[in-house]
Amino acid sequence: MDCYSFSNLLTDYLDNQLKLPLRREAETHLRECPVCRRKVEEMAGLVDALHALPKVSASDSFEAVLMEKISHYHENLQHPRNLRTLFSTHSRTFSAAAALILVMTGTLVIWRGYNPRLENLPSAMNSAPVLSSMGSANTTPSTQQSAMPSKGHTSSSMALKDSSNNKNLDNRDGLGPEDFRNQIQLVNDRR
Amino acid sequence: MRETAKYTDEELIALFQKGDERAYLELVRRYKDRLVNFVFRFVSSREMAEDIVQDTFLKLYTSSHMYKEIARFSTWIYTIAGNLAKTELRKRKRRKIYSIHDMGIDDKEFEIPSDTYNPERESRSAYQEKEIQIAISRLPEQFKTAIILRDIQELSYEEISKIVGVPAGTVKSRINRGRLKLQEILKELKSK
Repeated sequence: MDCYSFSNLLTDYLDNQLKLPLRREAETHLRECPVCRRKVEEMAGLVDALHALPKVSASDSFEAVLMEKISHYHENLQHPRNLRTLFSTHSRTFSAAAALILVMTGTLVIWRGYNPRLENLPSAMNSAPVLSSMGSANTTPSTQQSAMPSKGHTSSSMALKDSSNNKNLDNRDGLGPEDFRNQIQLVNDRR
Repeated sequence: MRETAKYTDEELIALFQKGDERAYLELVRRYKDRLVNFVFRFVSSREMAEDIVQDTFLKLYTSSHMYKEIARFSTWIYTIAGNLAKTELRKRKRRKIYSIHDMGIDDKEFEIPSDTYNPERESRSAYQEKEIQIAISRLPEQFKTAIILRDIQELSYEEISKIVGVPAGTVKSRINRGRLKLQEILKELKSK
């Protein structure tokens, strides 16, 4: 046995875990090798010191305090806890739920920001004629109005124009991929 | 019921699962000192060790149904206490409260339990208890658990393997490396 093999067996040797043939080999090596002998002595000293550490025992009040904790547990079971206690006990759950709601709300707000059709979808679906609801930039204001009844009418022609352009865009955006496919199909059928 | 002291741990937990609270008290009496000693070596504070062990027994009280007879009771209770101790240590690390890890041997705050401290015995030993406790606290968690369970609690490799949830070969390797690391830290402490 060489020093490397012995060092791998050091713990087993100290803990009397080696089977007899291997233990004899280890002892033979130890007789011949002062370096490994020294390692064993040092390690054995440490293990002895660990074994000899004073045992710490529970204090006299240990059981009384434990019984208090148990009776407190029973009290909590019998009486509904106030919100503060409830929150402190389940603070992680509450925080996770709040974070989830925040993320979902944020996602919805951003999504709606990029998809203004969501606001107009019901009106567009209810009243838009097929072609006008497909909407082009040149569609007339009257067509727009019929397509977007929910939007307010303005007396100013300029306002009407702006408004119609916006509506037009809204209306165009108002088409979902499915509506769009249906309408393409309708146009093709007419042809 | 015959005297509770004559029952095995597994018989006692079975009785407690059926509602016998005397069985619970017997288990508390059997394990409180062992567990306080184990957790104390982990967290280096007696007060905290007692608190953690009480929480361990509270868990036993509230979740005794979780114990299944496939494991030894001692393994199960050590696992709970060990996990609570590790959680507490991590909490402390996050809060960066008092850390023995950063202490030197001249620090006065280190706690040595007064009722067991024996200066005469200590002067004969190659290492002081205080040095050893500081060195243990500086060990990586895996090595610390293995060393405390093996060299302080004197459990078998098989028991440690079940408590820690790794094969006995891994336990052996952790003990070996843990002892070498401990020696290294103690040498550093002595050289300061």
